[in-house]
Amino acid sequence: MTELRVAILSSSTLEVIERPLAAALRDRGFDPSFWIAGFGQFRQEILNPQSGLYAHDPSVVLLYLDGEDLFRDLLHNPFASLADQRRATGRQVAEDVASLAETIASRLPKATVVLNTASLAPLGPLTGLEYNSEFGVNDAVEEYNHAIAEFARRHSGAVVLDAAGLAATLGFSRWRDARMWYLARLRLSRDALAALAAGYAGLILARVGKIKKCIAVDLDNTLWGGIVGEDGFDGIKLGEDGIGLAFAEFQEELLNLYRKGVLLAVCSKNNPDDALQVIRKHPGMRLREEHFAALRINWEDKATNLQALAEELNIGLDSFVFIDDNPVERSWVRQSIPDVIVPEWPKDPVDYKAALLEIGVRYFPKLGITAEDRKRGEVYQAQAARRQLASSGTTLEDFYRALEMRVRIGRADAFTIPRIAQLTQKTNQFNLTTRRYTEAEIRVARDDEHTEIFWLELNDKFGPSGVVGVLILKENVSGEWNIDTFLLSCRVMGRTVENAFLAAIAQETGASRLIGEYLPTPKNAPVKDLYERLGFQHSHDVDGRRVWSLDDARKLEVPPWFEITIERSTAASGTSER
Amino acid sequence: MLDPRLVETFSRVLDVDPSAVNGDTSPASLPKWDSVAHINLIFELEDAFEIRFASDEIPSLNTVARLQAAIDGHRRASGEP
Repeated sequence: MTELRVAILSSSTLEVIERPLAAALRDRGFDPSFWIAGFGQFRQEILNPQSGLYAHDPSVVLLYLDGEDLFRDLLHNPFASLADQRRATGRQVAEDVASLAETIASRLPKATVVLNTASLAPLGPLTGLEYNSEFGVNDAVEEYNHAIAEFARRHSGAVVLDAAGLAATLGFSRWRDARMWYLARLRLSRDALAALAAGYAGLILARVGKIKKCIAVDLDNTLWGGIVGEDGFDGIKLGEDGIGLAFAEFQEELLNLYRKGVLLAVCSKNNPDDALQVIRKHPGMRLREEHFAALRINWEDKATNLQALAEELNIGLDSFVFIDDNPVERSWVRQSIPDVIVPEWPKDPVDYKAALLEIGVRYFPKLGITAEDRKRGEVYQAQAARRQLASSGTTLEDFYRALEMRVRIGRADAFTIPRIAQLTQKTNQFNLTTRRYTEAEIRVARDDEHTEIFWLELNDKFGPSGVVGVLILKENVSGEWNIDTFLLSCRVMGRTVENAFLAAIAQETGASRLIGEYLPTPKNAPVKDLYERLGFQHSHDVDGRRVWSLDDARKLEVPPWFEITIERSTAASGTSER
Repeated sequence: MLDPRLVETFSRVLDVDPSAVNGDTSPASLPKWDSVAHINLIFELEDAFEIRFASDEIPSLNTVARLQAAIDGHRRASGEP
């Protein structure tokens, strides 16, 4: 459980969200502690530097501003203002909110400030007039939503929760509870509070937590209707006709997750020839072999196959979500491998797409898409080719040479900071200290003159792996550097990239003495002896940390099979738009 | 006689032992039963019993016995046993 300090400020009563929000956060691996502003106090709390908000020192600040509070004046007499004035009002209100958010960000530079889109009751005095006459109020709201989204895109510390979207999903009449408004000045219903809590928790997970990496899917009656072994290639339901479209659209949603960087894998009890024929040739298939990072189609039990998939992809079982229409298989996987998430699955294929969208929001929340996300699927396919080379029976050194590895190293900049933060959040195995950083924290650290933040990008004969390594060093005294963070994406482990990275950085910083620590976690045993392997001496243990030191860091050598480039100005090519 | 589901919901929302819940339990005897806890309690009971309290009764449900009576009233009105 990760400790998380949360502050909640709202334009109306919102204390009641603590209960559902605490549950939603605990469910996502956080141990939250809350501070909640009193009714009507949000402005004072933000403006007063000595307020309880800042005393709580939160890492997340939820500023929930309801449309009906923001536009109270407009709503008071909805016939008093015309379109131009209303749009100006929308912009003014947004500027006011943006300046409050900026005040928070300047006093809590490492925190994430969460704003929200606004919406108003669709049923009101303007119904009918709205969009048909000069009277309306939605243009003010649209202007507001647009402006705060723009603000959040410019400020790395601010993000937007689409509360208007949550209200529309639930239905606005169910979003409100008139009783609680009149009794307690609480605008939201029980269902709305639950939806808002889940929305905030998902956003926090996307920002600072550990999201899942891979969806493993069954085939028969999951990716297509029917059983290919019985109904045959032509007999399965998949494509434009009838219910076949439900399966095709479900596949399209899986494809959208793939495009957002989620790995897809197949885990199916089937005759491989039958199944592969469908995957390769069936005209209704939206997913093809190239979209799957790995496939397990055989008659082994599914828990065994999921374990094999985890090994092949080199990711933990707790990074998997498994989708299967068969409740017996689901329950078998649940009890055999509790780490794998096995969601309940609808009986009716018409509901598959919606169920998958829920899974996407719950387990794979994203606030942005990095270049690595977009090509992750291809990268894992190239990985399979590398494994084949490795098993082709030559020596390890021959394998390293045959890979033709080219490394680029550079310092954190605007282009690489999102990826650096993402790597600190997601990397578990090759991570010496497992310190999680947000983009804002990386930005603050970069401005510190005694801190150096490096990224590493790897290319080889099978293609680019993108930015896969991060080293953060802090200078103690001249020439002596502490290694705060040393991590590599698990997909480049076992290729001596770490030797190259540390040696190149020792030369670049001119470090004479390096101090490294190992903070054990349930995941990072693979790097327990890393510093020893690199020639460090064990110095001492403190609070469960092993501390190592290397007195002559200049002796570190880049293995001869690497070609190294140090970038001193431009960004990593892997993070530019493709 | 208190409905076990009422006792369960009450003890879960207010984080008290079920054995400590009786008809006379009130905000005076249980300071944790504040206005926020009261809203949570109303929401959770409405969900558990599939009922909806009226705005004028919500503030008056200030003992467990009164909660029980209101729940019984709503369930009788909806034809449940």
